Amino acid sequence: MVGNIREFILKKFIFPKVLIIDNPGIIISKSFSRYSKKEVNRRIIYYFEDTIVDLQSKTLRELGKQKTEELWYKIGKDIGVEFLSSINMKKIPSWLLNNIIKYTFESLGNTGATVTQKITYKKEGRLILQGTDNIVCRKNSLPALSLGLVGGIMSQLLKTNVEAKTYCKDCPKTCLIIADKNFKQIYTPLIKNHKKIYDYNKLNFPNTNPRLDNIHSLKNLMNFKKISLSNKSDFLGKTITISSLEFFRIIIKYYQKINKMDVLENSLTQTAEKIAKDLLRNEKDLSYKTKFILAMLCSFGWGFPKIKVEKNTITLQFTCIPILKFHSDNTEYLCLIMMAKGYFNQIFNNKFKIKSIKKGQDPASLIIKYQS
Amino acid sequence: MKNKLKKKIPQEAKLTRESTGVKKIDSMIQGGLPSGSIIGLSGPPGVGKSILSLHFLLEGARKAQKCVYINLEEPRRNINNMIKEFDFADEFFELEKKELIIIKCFDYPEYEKVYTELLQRIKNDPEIKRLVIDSFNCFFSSIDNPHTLTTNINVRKMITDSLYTIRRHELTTLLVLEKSEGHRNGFDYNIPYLVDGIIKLDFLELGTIERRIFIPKMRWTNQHKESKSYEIDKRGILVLEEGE
Repeated sequence: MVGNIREFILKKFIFPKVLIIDNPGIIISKSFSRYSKKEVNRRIIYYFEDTIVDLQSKTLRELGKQKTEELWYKIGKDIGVEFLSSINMKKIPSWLLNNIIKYTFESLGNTGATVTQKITYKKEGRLILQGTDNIVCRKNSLPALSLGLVGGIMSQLLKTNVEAKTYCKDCPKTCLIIADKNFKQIYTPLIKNHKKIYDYNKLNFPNTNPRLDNIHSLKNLMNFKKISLSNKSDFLGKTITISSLEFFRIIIKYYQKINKMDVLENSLTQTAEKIAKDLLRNEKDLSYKTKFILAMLCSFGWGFPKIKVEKNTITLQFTCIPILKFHSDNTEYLCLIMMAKGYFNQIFNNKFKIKSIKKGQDPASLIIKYQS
Repeated sequence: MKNKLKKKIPQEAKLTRESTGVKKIDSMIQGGLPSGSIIGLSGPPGVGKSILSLHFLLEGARKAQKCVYINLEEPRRNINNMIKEFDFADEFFELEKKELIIIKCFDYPEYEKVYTELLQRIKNDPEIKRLVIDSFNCFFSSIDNPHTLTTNINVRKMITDSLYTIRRHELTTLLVLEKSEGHRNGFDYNIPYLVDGIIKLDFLELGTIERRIFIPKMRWTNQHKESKSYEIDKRGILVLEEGE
């Protein structure tokens, strides 16, 4: 009884509230506390679950199980650390730890991580997550990303390195992850202090109402029953989930490190072709197909895309694209660029190559040229 | 004591409803718009707001109700061309000849002049039962400096006064509301809060164009919670059942 009252008071009055601000092209997750002036705004984007499922499966064929698991564990852990690093948390008092851990992983559950259906934290520093049908690994039985993510988040919460292991049975019916600070060290992410972009907030959260055709928000698509948002959201029957641009930057970083950018590119492109083929099967007109994909990218939070087609060249331009908090070299957009390539391959029944990538005059704009 | 109170409280009049002219929209709002209510009809350009207004006028005229259509943007010939696109055009013009439908196109948007003429008409002709103003936002488009506090207060007063007058004459009214550019949420002066209901028409262009009708607000009505898709053809607006 006392525990329930405490939890109620903490959730109602103390813990930050998270508000999703959904505008066409720009989706913002705003965390704020009732009694604090501090707000944390994060630009979020939607992507298809199959993008990661297929990438992991192709990497598995290329590298084998152990190396693939190591790779994706590191990716997951880096993301888990990044997820909480923007909040600049101090050490959590022990009497509050259980509630905060529960609150954090319940929030994670909204991204499709249904392994968080039951959350148990033991004071010795052990977290047990149980659930069914966890996103991504439910399709390819590779839990490394989820494990790393859990380990990363727990490391930030406990301010000490925490590793995670899986004890799943009969996948995806019984998902079980245990994270423990006493597990043998696998990987400890390095947290670097990067130089921040001066006008990050202005660029990433613009106060804009662009007068463009065919721009849609998630709410528009929900009203028209194209998207359903829940712990397993879907767009026209295909599961989607949320993340930030940082997630894709980390993936690129690791695939560059192991010299497997060709695997990454082929996988993202082929998955996008497959998705486009399914989504566009009822559309015959080229312009309708193009509009569809651009509207989809816009509603997923990638900003405002425009396209120009000339002979065998496609110019894809984004304005108000998400940007990283720190200085970047445009490689963080490579995943998006490769996925878009796949969509265009399918629409135009052609095989395009990435010709050039450059920022526009506005740092939140990106111009990509594809050529067949 | 209870008996004395019962005698003092007047008996509640039964709520009557006016058909919109589209049966499946009526079925979304328990049979029609509450009589005497003021309903906002909103949506982006080209979704069919004016067409729904025509259905509303036609239905009233068929029931021998006098209906007035005020247009503040288009000349008369454009209205005629719009009506002629539909199968009900002949009937519509016939009813206009019988003065059951009155179409008035003002070529000046100044609210004060239209307001006077419109209200005069309403006062002089108690037989008017239905009113459409297309579009209500036009009343305020000529105002300079719309965002100064003084102007804001004046305009709000004008809106509330006009709505009060319409309510007092118990006209079932459709106000066509255009989304104004530069206002992210679409409307000026909180008009959606002042009306008794909102019928929202919207379209989605995800490749092909789909249209849906939403009824987010309707006082004194248990309205349909889900949206419905619709098409526009020679018959006017056709609301489709799910799966059609």
